[in-house]
Amino acid sequence: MAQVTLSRITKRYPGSDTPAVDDVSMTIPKGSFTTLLGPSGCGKSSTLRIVAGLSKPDFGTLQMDGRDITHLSAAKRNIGMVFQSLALFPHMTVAQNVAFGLEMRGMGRSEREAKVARALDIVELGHLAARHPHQLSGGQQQRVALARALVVEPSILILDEPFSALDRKLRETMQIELYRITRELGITAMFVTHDQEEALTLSDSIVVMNQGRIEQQGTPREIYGAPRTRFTAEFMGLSNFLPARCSSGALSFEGLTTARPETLEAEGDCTVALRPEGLSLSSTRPEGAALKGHLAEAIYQGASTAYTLDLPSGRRITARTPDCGLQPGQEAWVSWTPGALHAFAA
Amino acid sequence: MSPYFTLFRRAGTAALFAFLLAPLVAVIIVSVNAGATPKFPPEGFSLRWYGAALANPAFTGSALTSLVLAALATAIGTPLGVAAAFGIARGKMPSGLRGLLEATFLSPLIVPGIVIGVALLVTLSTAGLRDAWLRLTLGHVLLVVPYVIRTSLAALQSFDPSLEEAAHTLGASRAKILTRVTLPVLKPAIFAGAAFGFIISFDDAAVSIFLIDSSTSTLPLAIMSYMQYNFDPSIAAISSMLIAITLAGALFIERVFGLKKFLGN
Amino acid sequence: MALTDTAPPPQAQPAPRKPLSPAWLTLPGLCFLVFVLLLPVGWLMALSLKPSMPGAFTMEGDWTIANYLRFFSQPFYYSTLIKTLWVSALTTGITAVLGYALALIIWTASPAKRGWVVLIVLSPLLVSIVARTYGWMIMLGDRGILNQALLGLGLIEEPIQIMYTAGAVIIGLVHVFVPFMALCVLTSLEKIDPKVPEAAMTFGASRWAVLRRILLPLTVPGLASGLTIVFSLSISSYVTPALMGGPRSGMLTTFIYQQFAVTLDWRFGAVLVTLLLALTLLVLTSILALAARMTAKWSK
Ligand SMILES: Nc1ncnc2c1ncn2[C@@H]1O[C@H](COP(=O)(O)OP(=O)(O)O)[C@@H](O)[C@H]1O
Ligand SMILES: [Mg+2]
Repeated sequence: MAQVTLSRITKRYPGSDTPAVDDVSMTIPKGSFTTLLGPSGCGKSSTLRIVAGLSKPDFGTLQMDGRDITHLSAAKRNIGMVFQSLALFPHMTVAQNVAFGLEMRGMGRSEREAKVARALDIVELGHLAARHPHQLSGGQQQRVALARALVVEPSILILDEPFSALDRKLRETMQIELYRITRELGITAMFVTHDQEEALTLSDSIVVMNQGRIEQQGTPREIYGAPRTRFTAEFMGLSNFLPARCSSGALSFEGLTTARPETLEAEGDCTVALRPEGLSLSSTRPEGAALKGHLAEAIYQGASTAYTLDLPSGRRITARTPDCGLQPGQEAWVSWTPGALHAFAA
Repeated sequence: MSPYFTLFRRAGTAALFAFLLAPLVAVIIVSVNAGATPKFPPEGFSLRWYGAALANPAFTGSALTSLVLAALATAIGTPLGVAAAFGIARGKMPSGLRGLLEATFLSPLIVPGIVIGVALLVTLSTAGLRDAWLRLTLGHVLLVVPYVIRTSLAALQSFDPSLEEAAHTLGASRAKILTRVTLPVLKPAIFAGAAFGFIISFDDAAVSIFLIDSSTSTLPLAIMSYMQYNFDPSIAAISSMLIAITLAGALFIERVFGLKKFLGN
Repeated sequence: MALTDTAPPPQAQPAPRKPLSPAWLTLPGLCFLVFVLLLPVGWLMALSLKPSMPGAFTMEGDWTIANYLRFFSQPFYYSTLIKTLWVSALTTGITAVLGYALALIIWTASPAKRGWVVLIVLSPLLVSIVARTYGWMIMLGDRGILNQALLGLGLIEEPIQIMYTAGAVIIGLVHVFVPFMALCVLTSLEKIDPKVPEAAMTFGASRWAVLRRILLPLTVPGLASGLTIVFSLSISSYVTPALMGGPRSGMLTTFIYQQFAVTLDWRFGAVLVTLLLALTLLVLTSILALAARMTAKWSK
């Protein structure tokens, strides 16, 4: 296992005006599971491919345990990679697929067979070693790809949206499995996804990317609980953005003044976001901070109901709470649990 | 569905199928005819014409020529075609040039066979090269190459590039990637193209007719010249054997690759 | 991006040398094609512009278009061009109708039968051209199966001549080319959602209307490529006209054979080759352009 450091990595594809990866620096500590999270096209795969050695950065360096590997061939980086398309060799059996990397390292047959058997045991596929990939289910193919990447005892395991083709249930199973395996083996892993829930489930550290740049980096708790930019907040499922002002100790928006959240770093103009799931409605004024509005819509969604409230300022906010019996047309007060309010520099 | 329409459709289908199969069935029936002329209905069952065909040195000698020629043309044409397909699919070039290259490599399919034969005859004669084997081999390689390119190119275009990247990250060198991953994955397509080229070469008459000489002839041309003076059922016998061989080859290609991919445009 | 004003981090090793572009892999094949096909054909075309002289195949003599004038001034010569064109056109027309019908038969066949139907439709292609032609000679000869059957039924008094006529050539060509047409049309048919014709039927469209208003327009691309392939294969076919039409079939390809193998007037023969090639290219480009225009409307 190794620590990998990216310094000022930049990559621009020929014919494109904007760089796909723009001045990205980060460190993936030994044994950590780091996830690149961001919308499609934001440069996650491009970053990953640079780390894997499948494409060269225009600028910047890459280090593994302090050694410069920027120009080292992918074949010599000792990585294990799981591709989005899985890229299982169709003409080889499961066992041959898994053995390929060991064979390329010149390992003898008996040692190879023992390692392949162990890797297949880890992903619980020992009984299917003689099959060809097309004879396996999607989840089983996924495990073969994982075993093939793990068996070489890579310095870093790299996974590019490996579960995006699976249905929801299988995806969750595979996530748990991946979590178990990487933590048991203490693997350094770099993972890419555009699914925030997946990132929160799996990661020790999340790097949010936007248009080739790093937007925010931190633990799942930090990213979810204290988004520092509107982009991250939106990506983490926040909505109800309201303009606000903050001064020392106080935060005011929509004619309301409350205590300033600890995580807020800005001064002056900023933005408040209210998580729809953390809001509650009542027909009478509740204790503590609350906003009054006119209930415009109530859409029943099963476990919860989505209420749309028109504020006096003309802005709208949405609350998602269990049905509270209020009808459109009524006046209502909206209040929030402490964790539902976030504020960041505008 | 109206009963008249169904009846009409059944009758039409039967007539069409009869048209397609009639000459093949006729050949096979005549080949086991005991009599000396192709008669219908046959005058008893006999395999004597198979014996006669196999004992005819004009047929056996030319069959050997055709086999060796097709094998030679395939052996030369396949690497040429596969390499060209790699170049077209993987080379960095403007799309116009790519289209032009592809059209050039498929052009032997458009140029009439007789024109290929005549052009080779004229230029090789001008150059003083009159060896039948040389002429035939050049002409037949030309027949094989487009089929190999067609299947290899199709396979390369649907080839998942991450297969090679996966091999690369697992430590494979360029040469190892080629021999252990790329070529094995393309193998069925290359094989099918080569097999198809072999059949086309074996069956060709139009290109070869100008390239043979008095001592070297191919099987189709030997049969054609025999037909000019004889009409006995030994031609039916050798034709039936050819039907069996081509059918076996076609079924084989269908198993490994799917026949429709070639015959469609 | 202010990348230039900060010194780039040290780069440990120089970037490795770029390997040769794979484009070079086309070179051996390209050389082969140029020397064995393009140059020879070009040479032959040039030869057509030299004065006719039986036996001569070198480039001696002045440039002239006399050979072309000779071809187009004598009915005996230019009639081969005309005959080639109408035989090919008729072949293509008949092939289109039969091929379309076969494609519909395949398309509507149940999955269980489909394999067999496809095998029957492809069978002419799976059989050596000489064997196939011999089969037709058995069928259509003066004392062939067809004439024997018609005589036996008392429908005709004496055998009708089919072999060595244009009719025999057309039958032979249609038989080989019908599978190409069927496959081309089938490729287009398979792109149609089977529910489209069904939906049209629920609106009260007749079977004929569905074919004419829905299937036919949607299969124009397949039909066009089928027509192109069959027409160009027809004009360039040699073995079938030679065997079924006889040595004096009057088709361009058999005439070419005569010029190069019998008369040995290679320079005049080169005119025929040039015309045949020009015709093939003309047909290919015009039909493809037409099809592109007709489908441009809906296939975006
Ligand atoms: N090989 C390439 N050539 C040109 N542009 C590319 C290439 N790969 C990716 N891009 C572009 O770079 C940007 C980032 O792509 P990518 O890294 O694949 O994003 P992500 O994985 O986050 O979806 C996109 O705008 C994409 O179109
Ligand atoms: Mg990606």
